[in-house]
This record gives sequence, structure tokens and C-alpha cells, in this order.
Amino acid sequence: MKGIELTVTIIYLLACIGIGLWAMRRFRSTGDDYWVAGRRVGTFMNSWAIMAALASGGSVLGVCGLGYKLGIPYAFSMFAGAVMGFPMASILVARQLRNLGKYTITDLLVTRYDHKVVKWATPIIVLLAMGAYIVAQMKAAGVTAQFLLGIPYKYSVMLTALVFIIYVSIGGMWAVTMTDIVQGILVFFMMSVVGIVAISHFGGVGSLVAQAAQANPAVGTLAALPLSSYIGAFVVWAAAVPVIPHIVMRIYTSKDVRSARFSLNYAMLLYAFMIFFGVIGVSAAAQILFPGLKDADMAYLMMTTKYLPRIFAGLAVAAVMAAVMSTTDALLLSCSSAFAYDIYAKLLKPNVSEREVIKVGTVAAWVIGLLAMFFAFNPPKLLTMMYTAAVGLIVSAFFAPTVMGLWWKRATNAGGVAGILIGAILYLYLLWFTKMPSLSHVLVSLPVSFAAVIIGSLVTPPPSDEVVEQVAAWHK
Amino acid sequence: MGAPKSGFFPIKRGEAIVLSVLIVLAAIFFLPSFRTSYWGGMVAFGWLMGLYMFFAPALQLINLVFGEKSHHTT
Repeated sequence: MKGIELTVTIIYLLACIGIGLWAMRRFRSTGDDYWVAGRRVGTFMNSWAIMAALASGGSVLGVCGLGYKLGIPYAFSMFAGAVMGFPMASILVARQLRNLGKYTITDLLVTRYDHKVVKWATPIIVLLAMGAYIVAQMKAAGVTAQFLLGIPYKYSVMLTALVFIIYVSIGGMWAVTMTDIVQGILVFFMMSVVGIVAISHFGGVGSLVAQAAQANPAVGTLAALPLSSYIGAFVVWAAAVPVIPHIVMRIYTSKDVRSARFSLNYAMLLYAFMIFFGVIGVSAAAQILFPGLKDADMAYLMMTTKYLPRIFAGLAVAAVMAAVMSTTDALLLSCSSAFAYDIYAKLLKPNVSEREVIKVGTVAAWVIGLLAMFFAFNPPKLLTMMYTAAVGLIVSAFFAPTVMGLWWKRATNAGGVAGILIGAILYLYLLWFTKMPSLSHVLVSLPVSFAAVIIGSLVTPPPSDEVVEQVAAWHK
Repeated sequence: MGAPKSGFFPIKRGEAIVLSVLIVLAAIFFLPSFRTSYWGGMVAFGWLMGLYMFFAPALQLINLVFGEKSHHTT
């Protein structure tokens, strides 16, 4: 057990719970407050919160591990996709989502495609995919605390999981937002510092990459995987951002359309800086200093202990935990809203009071969080690959119906149902029953989902005037 | 049932340009010549994707700011 690191981490975790308690006392009065922070989050706050929601454990441990194991170009192609997703979301969905003024991605799809299959399938897909995403994040917290604090893996998973379950369940979106801002700043600072220190130690970006390429030429090549895997990594994330539930909920929290659109792009400038310097600095330098790492996801932590004083090692633990928690808390809230708001309140027990929905959401957060914790005890091998596969499911099911539903007047309920079901089922089939290259499945399932929306719509009668006018109102 | 049942909702010109530029640029970076030529130890594709991370949000921010300015002046 390491005293300084443990103290810093415990202070950080207690602060998170404190913020949750503060949010519960101050804000938790209505559904709007609990699920979307009263729709009062300004541009500065939302920029950091959005950045933190995307900057998961995968963006710290995972991206450095990915750059180390599969080369910097692969890591960049995946994360450039994520960054491109934000201008896309800003153009394709931000205005319409904010004008719709609801809570979840299910709200949008159900309002556009009024069909029972959409009402059930959408929250179930969210629960499955985001559940897998949460498990991958918990692994990141576990390996970090195990490495830097000397706590056994299982206990560190439990510690982190319990803290964010507590503050999400008691504080809702206000707690998630306030903790995300703190966590975003911490992650940005620690990732950038480690990267920039390593870059300056090796004489600059160009010099470091050249030396790393001499140590291991694979670090700068595209040789690790087939080309379809690189394209798939880019496309998965670019298409994910406009529909992934925890980012969609952040758009709903914005105080207005302008704030939503600006904060999405400010967030990505911060994210780009952090990923660029973090990946170049850590992945390249680790190739020189620590060749042949068995667990590539450890590269960031090895670099931290190599270059930074112990107090910073404590902050590095806190930063990775912050990265994990800032994403996982938003994921957990999106899962609990999928169950409490989309399934319980709308399908199982209509006319239920707002207060009861929040109570069910609180219980759902505990159940989902604890289930994910137990799955995380037997963790996946490579973090980023696992949660990117889960994101692929969301993309295959939701991207085409969402974009076509918002922009194509002719899209019908049958088209929406076909797009969601065929996209999701085909993706899962390709993932589990074929040997396609990693992350390339979406290159088949996404176009097929688009085709399903178009064919399903064209073979059924056009939507009513009311539906078209309703969608037109979201564009204003 | 009198409203048009085909076609798309209109997209602003600036936004259509931003979207097209981002998609076309990404497609160009995947071309074979960028995947095989090396700049300072790394394939050109890697460097270009790294720069793209800054370029994509910056381009849309410029578009948003100019969109607001032209909105105010018209």
C-alpha cells in the first residue's frame, strides 16, 4: 500500500461523494433536474463535461495501450473518428435533440417512430451495449489502483464502482455534471503533462517518433491490422457520437441550441490536444523505455512512475479513476434512465409519478452498477477493443434511423423498426459468428441499416402531415 | 396528407460544406499513397489523422461563428 498515492486517491473519491450529496440537497426535485440537470448547463461547464464523458479509461489507459500495441496510426484513426463525430453531431442532431427537449435517445426514436418494437428494442439495446461499456471502464479503474496503490484488483474495482454508484444514484445528472467538470480538468492535465514531459525528454515530437520507430518500426506503421479495421475504427466512433446515449443526454442538458453546438466542438479541441500529445508522448516513449510490455494498457502508468514524482503518481491514479468515473457515471445514468424512464415509466407503469420514476432510477443505478462490477471481476483483455465493439452495436442500430428520421421526410415507422432491428441483429451476427477483422463489422451493418430504413419506408405509406411538421419544428 | 412526402429537410450551406470537407478529407487520408509514405518514422496517414483531430472541431467552430455573424448582419 502506498501512502501518498492512497491519500490523494481517497481525497478525490470523497470529493466525488461530497459533490453527489451537494447535488442531491440542492437540485433533486424534478425529473428535469435528475435526468438532464434542469437543462441549465452552460457552454463552459458542458464543454468540460462532454470532454470528460468521452475521455474514458479507454482514452487514458486504452488509447496509450492501443498506440503501443497496434501503432500510433491505429489509435489516431479511431480517436480522429470520435473527434469527427462531434462536428457531425453538432450539425446533424444537436439542434433537433435540444428542441425536442426530452431525456434520452429512446425519446427521440419513439417520438419519430411511434411503434412498440422501437419502444422496447431501443432501451434494451442501450442497456446491453452501455453495460458492456461500463464493464470495460471498471477494468481500467481496477488495473490502475492495483498497479499504483497496491490494492488487489477486485477491491479496487469495488471501491471505484461503489463511489460512482453512490453519487450517480443520489445526485443524478447534476452530480454527474459537476464531478465530470472536475474529472475532465484532472484527466486533461495529467494526460497532457505525462505526454508533454515525455516528448520534451526525447527532444520533441518528431525526434521521439523517429526514435520510437527505430526501437520498434511497428509503432508508426499500418501493419498491425487489415485496412478495413482502420476504416471501421474511424467510422464506428464518427457515427457513434451523434447517437451514443451518454453524449445525447449531455446535449439535452445544454441551456440552449447554441450552447449545445459550441460546447460539442470546444470539448473536442480539448480532447484532441490531450489525445495527440498523450498518445505520441506515452505510446512512443514507452516503446523505447519499456519494450515488450505484456499488458499494453499499462504503458501510461509505467510512464507516470518513470517521469513524475510520487504525489503526481497519486494524481495519475485519481486521473485514471476520474476518466473511468466521468464516463461510467454518465453511462450508468443513461442505463438507469433507459430502464426507469423508457421501460418502467412508459411501458410497464404509465402515469407513474415523477418522484417514483426517480426512485426506480436510483434502484436501477445500483442494480446495473453492481452487475457490471461482478462482470468486471473477470475483465476483458484489451479495453478499447471491447467498448468499441459495444459502441458498434449502438451505431448499427441507431445511427441510420436517427439521421434519416431527422432529415428524411419520407422515413416511416416501418423503416425505423427495420433499421434498428436489422442493424443490431446483423452487427451481432457478424461480431459473434464471423471472423471479420476487428471493428470492421460496422462497415457492413451500418449501410445495411440505412438500406433497411429506406426500403422499409418506401414500401409503406408516407408519414402523416403531423409527423413531418413535428420534425420540421425540431429544425427551427 | 398535403405536405411533401419526399425529399430532405434543408441543411445550411455552411454546414453542408463542413460535413463534406470532413468526409472527403478523411477518405483522402485513407488513400494508398498516405498509407505507404513515411514522414519522420510514421506513415503520413498517422500524422494527418492526428492533425485532423484539431481540424475537424476547429472548422465547425469557425462555421458556427461565421454563421452567427452573417445571421446578425442580415
